[in-house]
Amino acid sequence: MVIITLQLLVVPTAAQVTDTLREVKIKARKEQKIAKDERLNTFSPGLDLVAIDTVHFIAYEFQDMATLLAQQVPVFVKSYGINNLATLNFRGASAAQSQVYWNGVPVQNAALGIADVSLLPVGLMNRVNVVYGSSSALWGSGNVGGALMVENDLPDFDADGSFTQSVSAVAGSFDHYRFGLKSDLSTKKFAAGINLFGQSLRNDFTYNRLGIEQKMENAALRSGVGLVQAGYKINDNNTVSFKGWYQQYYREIPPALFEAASVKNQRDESLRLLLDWQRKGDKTDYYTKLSYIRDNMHYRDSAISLESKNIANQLYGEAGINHYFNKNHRLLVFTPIQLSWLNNPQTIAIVHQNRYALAGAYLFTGIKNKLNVSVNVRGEVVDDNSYLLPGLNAAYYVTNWLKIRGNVQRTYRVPTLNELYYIPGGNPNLKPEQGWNQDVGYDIQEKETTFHIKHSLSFYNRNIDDWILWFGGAIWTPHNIATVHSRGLQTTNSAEYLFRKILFKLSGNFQYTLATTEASYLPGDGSIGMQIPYTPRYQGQANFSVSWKDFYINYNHTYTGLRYITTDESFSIAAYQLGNVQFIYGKDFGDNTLRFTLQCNNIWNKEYQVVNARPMPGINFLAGLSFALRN
Amino acid sequence: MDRTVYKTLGGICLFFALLFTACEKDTPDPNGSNGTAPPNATPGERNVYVVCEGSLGNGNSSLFIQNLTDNTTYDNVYSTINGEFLGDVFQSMQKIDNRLFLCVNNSDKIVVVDASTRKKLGEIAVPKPRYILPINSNKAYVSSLFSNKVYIIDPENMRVNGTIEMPAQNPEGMMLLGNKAYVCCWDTANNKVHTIDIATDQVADAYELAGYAPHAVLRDADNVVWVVAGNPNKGKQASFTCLAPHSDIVLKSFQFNNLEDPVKPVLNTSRTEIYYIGVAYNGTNNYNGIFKMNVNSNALPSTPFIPAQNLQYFWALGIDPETGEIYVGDPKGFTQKGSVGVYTASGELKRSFAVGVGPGNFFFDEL
Repeated sequence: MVIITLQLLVVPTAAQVTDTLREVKIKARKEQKIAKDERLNTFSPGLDLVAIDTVHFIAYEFQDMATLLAQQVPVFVKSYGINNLATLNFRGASAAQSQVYWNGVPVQNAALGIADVSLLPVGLMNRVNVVYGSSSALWGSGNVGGALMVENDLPDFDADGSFTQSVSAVAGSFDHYRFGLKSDLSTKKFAAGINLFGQSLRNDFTYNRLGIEQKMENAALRSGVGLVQAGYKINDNNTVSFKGWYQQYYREIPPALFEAASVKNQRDESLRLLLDWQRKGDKTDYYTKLSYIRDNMHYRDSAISLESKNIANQLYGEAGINHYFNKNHRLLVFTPIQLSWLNNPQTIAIVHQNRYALAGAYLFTGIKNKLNVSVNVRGEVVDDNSYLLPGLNAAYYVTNWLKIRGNVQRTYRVPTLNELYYIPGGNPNLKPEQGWNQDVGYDIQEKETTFHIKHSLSFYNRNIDDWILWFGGAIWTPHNIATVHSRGLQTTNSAEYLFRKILFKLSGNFQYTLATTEASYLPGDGSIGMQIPYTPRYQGQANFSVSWKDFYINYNHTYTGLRYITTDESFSIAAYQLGNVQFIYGKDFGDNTLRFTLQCNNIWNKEYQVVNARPMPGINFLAGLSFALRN
Repeated sequence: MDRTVYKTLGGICLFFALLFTACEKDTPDPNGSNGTAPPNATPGERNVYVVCEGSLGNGNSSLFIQNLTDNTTYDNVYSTINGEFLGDVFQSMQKIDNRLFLCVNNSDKIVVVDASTRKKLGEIAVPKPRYILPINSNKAYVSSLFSNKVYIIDPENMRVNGTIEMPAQNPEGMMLLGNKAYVCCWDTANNKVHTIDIATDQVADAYELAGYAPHAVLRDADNVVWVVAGNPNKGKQASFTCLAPHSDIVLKSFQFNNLEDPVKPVLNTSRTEIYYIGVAYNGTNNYNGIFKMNVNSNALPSTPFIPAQNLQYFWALGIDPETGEIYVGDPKGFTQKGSVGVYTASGELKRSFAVGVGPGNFFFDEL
């Protein structure tokens, strides 16, 4: 069977999934390019990161990133319901301390400081990496608990020229329909791609309301998403590219269990533009990127005559030089600039936040390439305040199957525009959250011809001072309230066994996080020693998959521990376990590919809530069919 | 496979086994519903009901009761007795005959319970109910946020009998004086307090105030009508206006400074002292605590009678009608269980007790 990498194809088949797994197995010890961004590829040897498998990309292609992460990655996804707001919580960090980057550009809403991962379609991305622990020197403010890095690949330049088109149609439970088109064109000098889809979902699942089964109302979703990419190869050294991503989601917000009814809805419109220039040299690479992001959020609740429009803008620019001195020394210097402003009718005037930074990363490789040490530093000016963020991460190959790694980083998060200026409740006196993050761990890999085993374990520790927490009843306002200490461990494990032509894979992730308030400015605070709200102490995922010829099937099981909803642990919501199944069938017809996918979520039809009083759907299905034509 | 790898993996398994035994356990689901049920109230028994709003959007409001004879506190009474959560944002409560009416604002309902057993008798669906003004056994008015309506309910039959359209939005605080109900419409475009003729249920008069956005109304010992107005967060400076009864004559008025925000005023038993909470939500001003003012005074108090500390603001205020003790609720940010401090009439802390999330109101009851 011919091994073809995913990057060459628009629509890989199940057979290629199997091949890709084998390929990973074969190349596992080599330094693979996991991302396009050199900060991640080269200057983060000691960071703990998880790259999403190709097969998971395919299995979750028609779902959102929140679903993929919740089922496959050790991170808590705080979801208010299917297709509703979902934010990330890395190792006890808040949503604002868990950042999302699109091709290296921060994409969290400039006003809110958070990213809604339910609005990130898996099928739009080509690479997803989850980075644990802080790396603020490389990535800036807010990179406290971890980060989600999503990337798009421009179609490869092809001297022979190629043209690929694919179409997909999806149908699922609760009147879920989706239709998508993709097209890629490549020549020797020019490459372009377009990826469009639209979907609608009634979302009228049955749930238990005070012992009575009833259908969820006011929960529909409609969305349209488009990504356009174009690249021009000026010569062998220089490439310019453009990416434009526009999407609009209309979401009805269903009633919580304590509400009799809801007529709330929200329209989220985002425009993300990115212009990129890359110059590759023998020893020195240069790059610049310029991005404009506009997030328009329009919330309505006609029951209380409430209408809120929030338009946040961000201009992001970065220029960098990556110099390769020799096999022992590399240096990256770059200058991120981030200008954010907010047009909000509730604020008195347009408010701004400007960040200018100079950052550097030096990589030393020695001891027969067994040791990689990266020293990173960032000086950042945010409006009238300046910060110095040193960090160091390193990895050492003790044997050819054992790698130990560590990361120490000063970390911080500046308050967001809403936290500072929202009316009513914004607090202009807020100080940044600051602290230190440490994590250590090891990775083990062992392979034989038919057997491949991986195990990694990380211990982490983080102290954050001046943690920002929103207080309030009638009016919510953020305060610096506490020192929060987060610590715990995380392990990811997998074992593959190839029996004749059948590939069996068993994997399991587990995370234990203790994130407690250690000190507080609040008089009589009952949160001392207590777990931070919405931070499960325990969570884990397990998968068992079988791949044979053109078929792939996987059973996924997740466990999410009890979450407190108050800071003094007086109220909590129950732990839950879910089972999910993914099935893929793919078939090549010459250069063309037909693929069928089927997901069954919550196969045991469990009643559960991720967020208090927001019921989640029971068993549900999603079937997708796609066909790709290549010339 | 290399033996070393096997040994290493074995060691790892052992390590995990030891580690997990040392991990902090997930405690059993407390979910806030485990409370203590009080015995049935008996004649002569005095209780203070603590209305705990909960935190908006979490549905964790609760009713706490403290027996004022022996100071026994009963937690989460409604959920414990009735086996269901009360709802989201428990705003206020009122007693009519032998029934307690609980306004659960963000659940759009009034829950009716027996005043002796605290067992649920029924619900009345009212959008965003705030406060109840009893008119008689068969009629009460309910103010409602985000509309211009006052709802007329029949407490006996637990139903809505009609609505009264007010000239402004957000009916809030109400008071009965003779045959008129004074209604404050907490609307930033409104600088009048309106009255309703309780015989006809029609809007009767509108008396101009010294400020906009009235939200509370009281009657002192001389039947002078005190109207508290303002919404500093929306640019409407707070004010007190003292009106002659059933008249538009302004006897005196007081203007607060820009961010000073007086809320939830109460009078002492003799109706000669007015107490209110000065709220500083984001800690940017010092007008924060319980303030006290004699009704005959011609100046506003500049310092709190009971000051709040940094990052703290009070959200509930009540005066025990028998002892004159001052009850103050501290919501502790609405992110955890709150507490109630009981102060002597001279402002000394006498005792305190823990309550549910977001204590916002007190109701003193004697059977």
